[in-house]
Amino acid sequence: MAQLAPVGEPQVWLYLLILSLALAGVGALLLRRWQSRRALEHRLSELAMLAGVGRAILDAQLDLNRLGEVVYRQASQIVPTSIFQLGLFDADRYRLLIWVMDGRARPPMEFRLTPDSPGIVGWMRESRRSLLVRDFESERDSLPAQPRYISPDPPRSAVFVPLLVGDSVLGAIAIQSRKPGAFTESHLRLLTIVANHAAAALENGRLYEQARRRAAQLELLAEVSQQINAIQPLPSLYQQVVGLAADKFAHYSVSFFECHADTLTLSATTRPEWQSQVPTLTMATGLGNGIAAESALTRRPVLRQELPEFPRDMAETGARPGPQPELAVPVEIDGQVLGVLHAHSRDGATFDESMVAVFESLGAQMAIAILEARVYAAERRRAEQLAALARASSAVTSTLDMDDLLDELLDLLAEREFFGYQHVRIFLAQGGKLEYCAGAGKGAARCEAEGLTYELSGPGLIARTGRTRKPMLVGDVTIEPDYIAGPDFEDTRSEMTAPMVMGPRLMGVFDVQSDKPQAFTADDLQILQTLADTLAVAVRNARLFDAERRRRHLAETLREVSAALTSTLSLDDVLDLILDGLARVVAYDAASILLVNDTRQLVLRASRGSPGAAAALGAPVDVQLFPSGEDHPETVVFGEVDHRGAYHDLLGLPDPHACLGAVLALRGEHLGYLVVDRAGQTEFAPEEAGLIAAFASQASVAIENARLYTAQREETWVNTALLQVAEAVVGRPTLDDGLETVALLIPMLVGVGRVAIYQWDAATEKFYARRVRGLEREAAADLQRLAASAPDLGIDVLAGAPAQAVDCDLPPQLAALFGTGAGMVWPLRARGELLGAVLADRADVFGRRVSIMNGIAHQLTMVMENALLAREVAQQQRTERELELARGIQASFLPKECPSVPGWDVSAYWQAARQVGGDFYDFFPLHADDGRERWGIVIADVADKGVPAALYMALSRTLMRTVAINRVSPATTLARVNQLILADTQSSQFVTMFYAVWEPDTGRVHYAVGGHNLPLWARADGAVRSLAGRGAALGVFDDAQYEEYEIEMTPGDVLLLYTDGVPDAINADDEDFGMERTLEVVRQMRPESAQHIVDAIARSIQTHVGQREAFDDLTMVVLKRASVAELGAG
Amino acid sequence: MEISSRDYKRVSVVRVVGRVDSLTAPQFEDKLKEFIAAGKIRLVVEMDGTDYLSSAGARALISAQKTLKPRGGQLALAKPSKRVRDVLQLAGLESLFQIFDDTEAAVGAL
Repeated sequence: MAQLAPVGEPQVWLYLLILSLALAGVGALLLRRWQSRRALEHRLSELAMLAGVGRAILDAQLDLNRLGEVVYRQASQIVPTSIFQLGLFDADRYRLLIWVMDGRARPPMEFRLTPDSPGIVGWMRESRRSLLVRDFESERDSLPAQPRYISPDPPRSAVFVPLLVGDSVLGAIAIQSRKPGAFTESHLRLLTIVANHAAAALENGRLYEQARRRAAQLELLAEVSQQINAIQPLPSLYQQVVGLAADKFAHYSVSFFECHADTLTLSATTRPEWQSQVPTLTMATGLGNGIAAESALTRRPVLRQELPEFPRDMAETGARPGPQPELAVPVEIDGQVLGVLHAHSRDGATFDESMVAVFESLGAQMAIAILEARVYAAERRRAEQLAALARASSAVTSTLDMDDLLDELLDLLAEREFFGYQHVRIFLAQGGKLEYCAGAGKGAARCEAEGLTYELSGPGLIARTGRTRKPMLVGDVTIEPDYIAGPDFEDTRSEMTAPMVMGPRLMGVFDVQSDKPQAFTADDLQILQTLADTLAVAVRNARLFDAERRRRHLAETLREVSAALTSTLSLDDVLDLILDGLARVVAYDAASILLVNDTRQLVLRASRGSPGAAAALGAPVDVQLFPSGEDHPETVVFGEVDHRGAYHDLLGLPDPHACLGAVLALRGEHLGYLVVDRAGQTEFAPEEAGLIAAFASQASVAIENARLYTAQREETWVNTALLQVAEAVVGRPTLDDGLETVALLIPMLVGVGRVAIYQWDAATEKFYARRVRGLEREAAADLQRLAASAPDLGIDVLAGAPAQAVDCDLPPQLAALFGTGAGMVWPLRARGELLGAVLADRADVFGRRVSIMNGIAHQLTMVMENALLAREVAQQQRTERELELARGIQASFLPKECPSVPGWDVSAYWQAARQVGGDFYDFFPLHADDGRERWGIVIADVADKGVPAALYMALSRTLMRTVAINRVSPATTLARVNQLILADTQSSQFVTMFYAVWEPDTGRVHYAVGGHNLPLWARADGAVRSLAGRGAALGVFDDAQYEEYEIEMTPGDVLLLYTDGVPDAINADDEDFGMERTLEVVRQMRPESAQHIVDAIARSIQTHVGQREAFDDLTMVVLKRASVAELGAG
Repeated sequence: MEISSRDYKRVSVVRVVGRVDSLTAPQFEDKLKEFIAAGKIRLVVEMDGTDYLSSAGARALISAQKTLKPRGGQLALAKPSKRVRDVLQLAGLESLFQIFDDTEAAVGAL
């Protein structure tokens, strides 16, 4: 404000004073008005400017950086702004949007705010107030917060204005000057207004920025996910993600590390200084190897952005470069870390939470993409493997040659890089070993050359796989105790093996190895196992095919040999053909055929390849050198012969050599041996043994055929002779003639020197020589006198077997007569009966002679059997005649007719059994002194059969008639007959007899019982009972006495006399006809005629017996007294 | 018919099971003859299992008895079945043989 000085007198001065006062007042007024005007103008201009500032600020775009620049420019119009900072708070961080030092812009920076020394900016944030510092030096003690001077030339004055929006402090504007008093209250006020505008705009901008960043992030994520959606090889996926992220966030360089096991490998990067290190830069996961390694270990994002502490003197701190912020996020899925996404700040730009979130999202996306890519890669590999597997299967199953098969398989595996393998080997099981058989990759050649073989029971993974028959996967062979490195396989790190199994048989082991650890997956193993299974089938097929081919070859050879063999009948030719043919199928150095000759000696008959053969042909060989052919009637192969020295010396064969032989045998006859030798130590294989056996069989047949041919004419003659013998023998009427003929023929036909034909006498159980040939006359006669027992001739009497020659060592006496103790005996049997025997000198009978002798023995048997049969027939005829005779005797003694007495009806029945029993009945009139009519009635049973029974019966009957005729008493009659029978015979034969004296007039019947069945008495009223009485059979006791009984038959009564053939007749179940049935038939039939009654009983018995042949005679006599009615009718 | 036998010190027991009829009686007779020929003169014929004895069978017994008696031996019957007793009784031949109700008694008695 201006001050005016005084100018006049006192009045004047007064006037002047007044005037001056007035003027002063006016002046003051004017001044005030001017001042007011100026102030107003200033205010207006301020307002205009502020309006411009506000407009500018508010018009400014929402980009925070651009906004900051606008605020900076507007502030510059108000105050000098050579040192200017515009910053925003973010939690404990302070980010400078605009930083100008001495008029030069600096890059944006972020600082950490420490709560213990907040500085002026911190104070502003707390107090929300602005601060004007006119001079730091003079006001130092009164400042609410202390700046720290680091610079030698610090600012002197400053104005600080907070950016306030609502209740919160958004940030701050700090303007400083190196001159004191550079800023006024007015500046402060103006800047406050600018700050308010700026705050509003910045808030908008911040929000916009956030939205924009979020949009950019989302855009990035969208873009990344779009890019990586398409499945692509992993390296290009990494490259793409890294590139995109770096594009979107210009302040960062981005890298990706792939994670395998515990190792991170740099796979893609936009960081210039790292680009040359892809993919060689590796690090182990863990702490202390950088944040990527840490992140991979912890599976959490790791952020390192050690922000610099916010300086109090903001003019200075920006000069010091801080560490570059970096972020690492794990790329993981399902707990598996696939890699690490890593971002470096390029220009000190920091990471806020949203950036971390973006990278995490990116990581998650990548994880999915990587997994997909890996799955896809695995699938593709699997598909390729399966395709290859299919090809391999079809290849191996379409090839039947083993070598071709393996070659093809290995080619296929190599071509396909089936498992990314290094080495593949196939071992085939041979006995208890696994032999290397084919392989590819390095080491294969050495395996082949060294004939690599593992004992199945031995160490190593391959043997173990063979043993357990389970596939194995070894990720790291260095920690597998069972692992043995194969030749040239020292680099192997991982291995998988699969057994080739066919049913119960182990065919081999399939082995794949790799120089990389963990090279194979479980899928690979499965594929390998499948391949191994296929291979097992194929190997089996190939082997079968091979065997089949060999068999066919053998069969073809055998057929040819066989054809050749049948084309000749010369034994020598046959033997040559056999040895030639054998050479076609079995490699041998020497082969020989030894045959048993007629004298049972083993002789070398043919030989090939042995130096001494020509000289040795025909030489005898000690049969002890070989297994006993006699014990091996079938063709049997034998191996190494222990004591073959003599045989091999004979052939001049050098040692050592393998020897294999076969017994030549046919139908149980031992022919000889086929012996094959091979120089060196190589033993014959089982197939070769089989071939030799097959040849031996063929050879046996051919040799026998040739021999048979040789023998054929002779045989033909022999057969003809035998036929003639047979005819001659058949024509001979007597056994002696037959034996004579045969005895003559034996030496002629068989060439046997001594022979004796014995006949067996069953009664004395001795052999008697009936014919002898080849001995001196005296010796022959002595021999014929000397009976021989069955053991003498080595014969078991009871054995029922047909004639079979047996060796027999004759007892001394017999041996002395026969001239040798070594006999051969043919027992002659027919129908199990021993008939005789033929004895020959054992030394004379061998080979074919045995069969001829067998034939002669058979002839002899027939001769003897015929004689026996003839005798039997005669015997039978005699028996038959005897039976006829007996039947005739028996029948002739039976009454021709029954008594015909008025008022009585008598009928008899008699049926003889086939063998003829001793039943008889008889009627005879008795002549007593009183002249009364009496009849004797007899029924009897002799306890014997056939002719003796018939004769005894005849005797009994005659005695009975003789004794009875003059006697009335049956008891005395029987007693007398008994005496007479005993006097006549000494045998134990006896006869049971019932004897009745019948008086027709009175109906009385007196009787006595001689041990016979008691007759049945049926009364007219239907009562039936056996008669009472007893007495011994006749012919047993010297002084037998008999009692006499009496009954009186009234009209209608029936008396049945019978023998035991009636009640004892049995049916097929051994059930007898019995007395009950007999009684019942009699009771029912009693009104009928006597004839009807016997017929009815006979029929009843027949029905009961059925088809069973009666073994006893059946005899009945019925005596009936006519009833009143019958009498009337009569 | 089945015949079995067992030898005691002095006595042989011949056991006859089944039917001794005119078909099998010769066999029975032969068997008894065999024993006698072997010098066994004290015979007990055990007949509880004998279902049937025909007159031919009885004759075999009598024949044996007739041979044995003059030689100081004899044939006794043990436990004859009712059927056998009936036959022997009917023919009046019981008195020819000692008849025992148990085999031991028969063996002891001979």
